Amino acid sequence: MYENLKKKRKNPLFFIGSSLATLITHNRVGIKQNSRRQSSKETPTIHSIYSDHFQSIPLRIRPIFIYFRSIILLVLIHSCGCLVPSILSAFYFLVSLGLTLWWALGKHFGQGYLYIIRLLQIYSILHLLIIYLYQYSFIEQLFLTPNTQLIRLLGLRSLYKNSCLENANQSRNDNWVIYIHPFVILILYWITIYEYHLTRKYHQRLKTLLQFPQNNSQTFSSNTYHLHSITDLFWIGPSNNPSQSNIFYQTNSLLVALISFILSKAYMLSIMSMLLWSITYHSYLTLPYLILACLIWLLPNTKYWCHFCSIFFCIYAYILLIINYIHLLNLIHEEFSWRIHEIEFLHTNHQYSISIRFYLKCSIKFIYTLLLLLSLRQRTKERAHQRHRQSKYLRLFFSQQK
Amino acid sequence: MINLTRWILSICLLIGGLVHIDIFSIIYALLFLTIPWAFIHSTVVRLRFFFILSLIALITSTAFLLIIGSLHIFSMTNKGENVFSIECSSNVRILQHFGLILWAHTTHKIIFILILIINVIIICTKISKKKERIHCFS
Repeated sequence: MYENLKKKRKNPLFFIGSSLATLITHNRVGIKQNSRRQSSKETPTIHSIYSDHFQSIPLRIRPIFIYFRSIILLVLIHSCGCLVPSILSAFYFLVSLGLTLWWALGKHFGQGYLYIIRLLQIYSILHLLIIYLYQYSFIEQLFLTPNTQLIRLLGLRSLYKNSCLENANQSRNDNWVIYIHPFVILILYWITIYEYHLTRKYHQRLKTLLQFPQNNSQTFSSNTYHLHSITDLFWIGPSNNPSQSNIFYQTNSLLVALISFILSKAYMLSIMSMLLWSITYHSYLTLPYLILACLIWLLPNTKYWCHFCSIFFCIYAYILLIINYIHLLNLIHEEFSWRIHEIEFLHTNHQYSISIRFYLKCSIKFIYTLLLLLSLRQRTKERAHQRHRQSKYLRLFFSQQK
Repeated sequence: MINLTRWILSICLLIGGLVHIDIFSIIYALLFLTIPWAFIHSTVVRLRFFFILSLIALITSTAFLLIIGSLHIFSMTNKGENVFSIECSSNVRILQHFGLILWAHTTHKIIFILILIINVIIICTKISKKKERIHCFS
């Protein structure tokens, strides 16, 4: 055997043949590798951008993670506003209301979202510094005597025990919520920096994608894949076109299916939230909700009427939330009482204290409002979809006539 | 090791900024608030940032230790005893803004020991960072 091989190796034809074969295979491998490199360098699709955005997170839970990231940010902004209700914290509260309304109206945040996040960063750091500087006994002494009302409305409290300041220690509140509040602002500050960084990176990637002419057709889908309108993905549903298949439905997650089912019944959730609001916080102001919820429930086309009235429900919910926030602003009876014929319209706090009950009250009402906003969102989405379909049919009609 | 020292420095700055409120603690707090910016930048920027951060922390903590040490030596003298005898006197209040904590309360003793530990850790972090830097450039 060994001799035969030796003979074969000595043969010049064998050498030429083997060298040609290796050359061809090497070239083919090289071409394949080049084509692979080219294809990888080619236009990055929206899917690749979307899937590469959080590579450290498993694909199965990646969409849920992105979805909850937005929710966590909203919860943090709301918590900063409602843990210790004050004039300084009102900014966070108004931002959370504005963000949810903007989302419900179906508007895309785009570059504006980056500005909001940057604004939150600056505001949170300034707020933290104000709280920190107020802990200095000389600053506290400087402001406490002449402007007690202003300090109370600004939500500034001494967190450190100072035996030399009698007035300050009298006004101290030992509830744990006031100690938690600066930490929540600090977490918000950290998260906004992280969020700003990620969103800017995402925008840059989208810009590079849109520079390629082949992907101009995907401009619309790029908007729908925007991180902050991610709830749309639950309403879109799996598409038949494999090129535009939805990454949410590729995950086959039960949670995704459950959320999309719940969101499809958004109008029911709105009616339930109205009923719950009027039952849990019964007053003259919430009575219209109870009456309207029962009336809409009895009407034959519940979904249509709920969508039709959703904008009014949301405006009313916002008014109620703002009134509730003013009520929680630690106003005392002597300073503020809104009375007509001895009927107190806006309650005032008789106790100078802050507790977790205020936050829970504010949060529960905010959740009810979010449920009401869901139906508004569904309405705007369905209208946009209807308009898109009508324009498509019109285009088809005119093209057939030509 | 680099990551560990970074985390130690961050935690020390947080504790140093929260344990006691004085002029030095606001420097720690401000330094702590700048940390998130480092985490979103590239490794080179991050390394440079943490080097400057630890340098400022080291200068601050050294100045703090010197002031506190000298004040406690002064408080042991006859003149010092008169100055520090009244807890809420204007002199003591001014000195409190520079981190002086009276030894009268047990909590203050604990705080002082904690501050000492934090400062020692910051100095150690600084030294280890310098060693890493020398090691990187060599």
